[in-house]
Amino acid sequence: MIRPGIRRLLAFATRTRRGREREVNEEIRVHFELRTEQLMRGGLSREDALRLAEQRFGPLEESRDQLLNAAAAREKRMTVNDHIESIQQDVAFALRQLRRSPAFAVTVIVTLGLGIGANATMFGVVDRLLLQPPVGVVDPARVVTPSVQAGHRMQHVQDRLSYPIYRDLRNTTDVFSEVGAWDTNALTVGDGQNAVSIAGIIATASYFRALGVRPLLGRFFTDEETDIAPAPRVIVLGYWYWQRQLAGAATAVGSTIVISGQPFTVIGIAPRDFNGLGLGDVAAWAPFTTSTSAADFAEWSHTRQRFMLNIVARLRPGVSLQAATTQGTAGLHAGSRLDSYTDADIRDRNEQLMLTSALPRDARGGRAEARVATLVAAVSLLVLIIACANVANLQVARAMSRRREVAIRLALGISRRRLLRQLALDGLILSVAGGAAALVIVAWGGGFVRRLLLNGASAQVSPVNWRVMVFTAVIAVLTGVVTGLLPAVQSTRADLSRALRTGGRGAHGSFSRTRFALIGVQAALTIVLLVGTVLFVRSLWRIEAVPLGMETGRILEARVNSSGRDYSNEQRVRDYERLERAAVAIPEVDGAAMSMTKPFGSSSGVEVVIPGRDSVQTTRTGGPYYNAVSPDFFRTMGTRVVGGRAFTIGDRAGAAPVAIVNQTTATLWWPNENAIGKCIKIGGDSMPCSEIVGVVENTRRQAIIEDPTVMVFTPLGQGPSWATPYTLFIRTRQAAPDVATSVAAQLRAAAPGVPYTSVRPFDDSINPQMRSWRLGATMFGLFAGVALLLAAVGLYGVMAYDVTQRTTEIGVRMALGARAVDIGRLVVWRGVRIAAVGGVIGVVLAIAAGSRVSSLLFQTSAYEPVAFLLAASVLCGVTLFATLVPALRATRVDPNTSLRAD
Amino acid sequence: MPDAQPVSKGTLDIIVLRALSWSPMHGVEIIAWLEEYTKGRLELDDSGVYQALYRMEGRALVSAAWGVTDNKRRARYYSVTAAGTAYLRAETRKWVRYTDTVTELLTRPLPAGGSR
Repeated sequence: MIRPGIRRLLAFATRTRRGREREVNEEIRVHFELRTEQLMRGGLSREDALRLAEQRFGPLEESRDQLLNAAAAREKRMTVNDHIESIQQDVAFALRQLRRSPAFAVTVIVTLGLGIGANATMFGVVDRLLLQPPVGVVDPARVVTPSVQAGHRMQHVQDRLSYPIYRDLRNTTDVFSEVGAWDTNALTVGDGQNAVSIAGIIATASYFRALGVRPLLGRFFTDEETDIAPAPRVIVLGYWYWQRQLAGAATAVGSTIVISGQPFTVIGIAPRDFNGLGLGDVAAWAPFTTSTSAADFAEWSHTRQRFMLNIVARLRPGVSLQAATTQGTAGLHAGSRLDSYTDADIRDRNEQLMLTSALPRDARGGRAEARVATLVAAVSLLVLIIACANVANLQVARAMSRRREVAIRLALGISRRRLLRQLALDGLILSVAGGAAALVIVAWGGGFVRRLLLNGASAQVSPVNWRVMVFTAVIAVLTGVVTGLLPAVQSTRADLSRALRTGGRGAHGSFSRTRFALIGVQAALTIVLLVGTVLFVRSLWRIEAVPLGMETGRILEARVNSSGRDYSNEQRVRDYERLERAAVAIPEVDGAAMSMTKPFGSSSGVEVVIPGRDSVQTTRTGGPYYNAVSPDFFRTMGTRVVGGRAFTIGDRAGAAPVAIVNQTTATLWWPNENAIGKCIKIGGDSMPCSEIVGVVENTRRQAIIEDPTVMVFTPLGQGPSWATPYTLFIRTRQAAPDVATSVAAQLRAAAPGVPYTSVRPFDDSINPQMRSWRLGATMFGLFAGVALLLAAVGLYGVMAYDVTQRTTEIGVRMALGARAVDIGRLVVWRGVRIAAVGGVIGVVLAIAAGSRVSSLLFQTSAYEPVAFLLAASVLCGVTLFATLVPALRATRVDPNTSLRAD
Repeated sequence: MPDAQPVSKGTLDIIVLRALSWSPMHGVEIIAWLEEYTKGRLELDDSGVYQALYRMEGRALVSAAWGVTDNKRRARYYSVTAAGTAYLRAETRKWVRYTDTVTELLTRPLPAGGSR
């Protein structure tokens, strides 16, 4: 049996048509010779034998042609087989070569792993955030979430809506087939010390129909269960909660679980990974009116300005977004009329419906986090390019050291194509290994980025899924080809005879140019990343420094989780009062106060009448907004009283009605007068006069960045009947997160019988609003760090190699009298020059990219000189550092040895 | 050879493989071996044997190399590859099952009754 390798050596004999013909003819000739002899041995005469041989062979010309065709087909097939086999050989060869230089292989794999991993991680995030449709939702393009714009310049956007608006949209049946209402709501499972809080959603029956989701087991709610208060105690469990807590037993449906001390019947299980329209795990769904008393429901279901729910609607087939918007707006206005708003009011408010599809790119694409995530994903490409440049650099260096080998193989007649293929394969193998390393990074870093970026996103979904794997594979192959091919082209173009003569040393001009160019690219991109880091860090600092009118860092918020109870207003007031008393007795606590609404969480509008005026002025954010608080509220929150006084214990029900307004309100309503002592009627003209006793600094209603708000406060006992506490704010002596657990435990222990009370730092409500800048600062910083490290390693490698290549030159210089300082300066200068050129290009790139990021920054120009200066000096420092060691080595060159070496 | 039967193209391949499984041979040796072994009952077309060899060489069932005969003549020698051996074994099994079935069908006495 002949070995393919040997066969290939003989291949030119048959590869060509003529060679093949010769071979077939030869075989036919031999055949006749041997066949005749064989027949003659059987007793035939020579002539008879020859005739018989011809007869048995068939018509000669025809048979010969057939054989030639068969031979041609055979060669074609064998060529393909040979190709496969030679690729196998090349792979084996490449693996052997890599095993011989493990340091090189490991460096390249780690570098590529970082580059590809950064990309794959960010792809995973963007995919999750913007590309993958919500699980379980049928035809998400037809599912819309409404919000309302108000004011004549559409300045005021209300994302959370009220029950009357939900009712109005439900009545707009010609464009919406289903309209559902929902809200997130923590549910307390178990009771007493063993109680735990789980993430829940309260929803109407129509919510599930609007999303088009089907239960995995059992059923969802019926309208009868969700449109009345108090609602029946039924619950739908999330898939993962069912799996974890009930071991996925089918008997779970129909069983009972205790929520806030009340038995709830499990009626259904949601499909796997269904989390509504959000990204976070939902453990259970309860009827929308679960925690609501009949009286409460009657009250808020008729209050148009009680913004407390989210709406989701499904468009009827064939209805455009445009038509639905117009019809929906008309529905809103009709509903306002039903709620006895006058036509003038409606015109004045100018409410317009806004619809956003539930497709992630529509629903989340406009959000700052999504935009920053996309930007960071784009930026991760820079990290990959830097990694590629580094790897290409290493490959070029290796190619230089393998030049003699390559030259010999070329001289021995290996085809340039085959050689190219071998070198490209080399790169491919490394990049595939790098891709595998990248997946490890994704699996490991995915959790970190998720916490940072997709806060609260379901942890059930692994960061490594098939989409990420495909992405990684594609990127890995591309990088492999790119990083392998550049040095391959370079080294096969090398001058053969010269390489052989010099033993693979010297004549490294074109190699060096390539390597220095690659370093320049790295420097340029590193500058871009550094500038971005500085810009985002400064934005983050500035957003953190925005005065909120509250000292949020030392505040805890405690909320009674009453869901599932028939919880009367009176009971709630009693429970919060108990909690307040319990809180102030805790040593770590400096003060506590109850509040109806929660800044950054909820707000409530109210009608205010000033005697003698037709209407009250408000700002672009709407209002007037109203909060009812207990006496110590302003001190607890750290809100300064700028005029008059705060509330006191004396301001209780039955005492003379008093009110406090914020600065915006005071100057807007009484521009040239003192607001103190003025009378306002809160809740309508029929209400008694409340005397303004104090003015407080402006605080935020719902966002860190918002226009001034008209805000009115009354003591809790003096407001309308529905003004009851929903939050207890606790001022701590130390940073709130440090004592949260301890305070929570003491609070629960001191107030047994009060439903489960959740305690968390107030900052947790605010921080999500800073997430986009925090994300930008962290990810840019991380990537810039990686880039800087790679660039430094790359530069060091190139400089060190450069020094060894120029040992002779340096020796000559020293022999001619150059001092060590001159030599050192020479080397450093070489490095600095490249970094400088790259840096300048980077600055130009950063300026060009500026317009893309400026809208994502906070009070920070994309062209801040500080950012550029800082970036440049960091790069400069790193460059010096990376060139210093090679420079020192250069100064230690001994002219004697170096000159004798050649 | 009056009773010789023509060989269909599909079976020619395995017939030639079978010959080669005995020992590596050149074309004429294969033909002679088959004639002797079948006592001339198969009608072989000499050039057809070469076509079968080329075909199988392309499929890597046999390999070929120029060698020297006993009386010092150059000839192209063929031998079965590992793939060829496996192929022959699989095809033989198929062939036996097929012919057994057909033989049984054609030769077993039919049950009583049947068509009118």
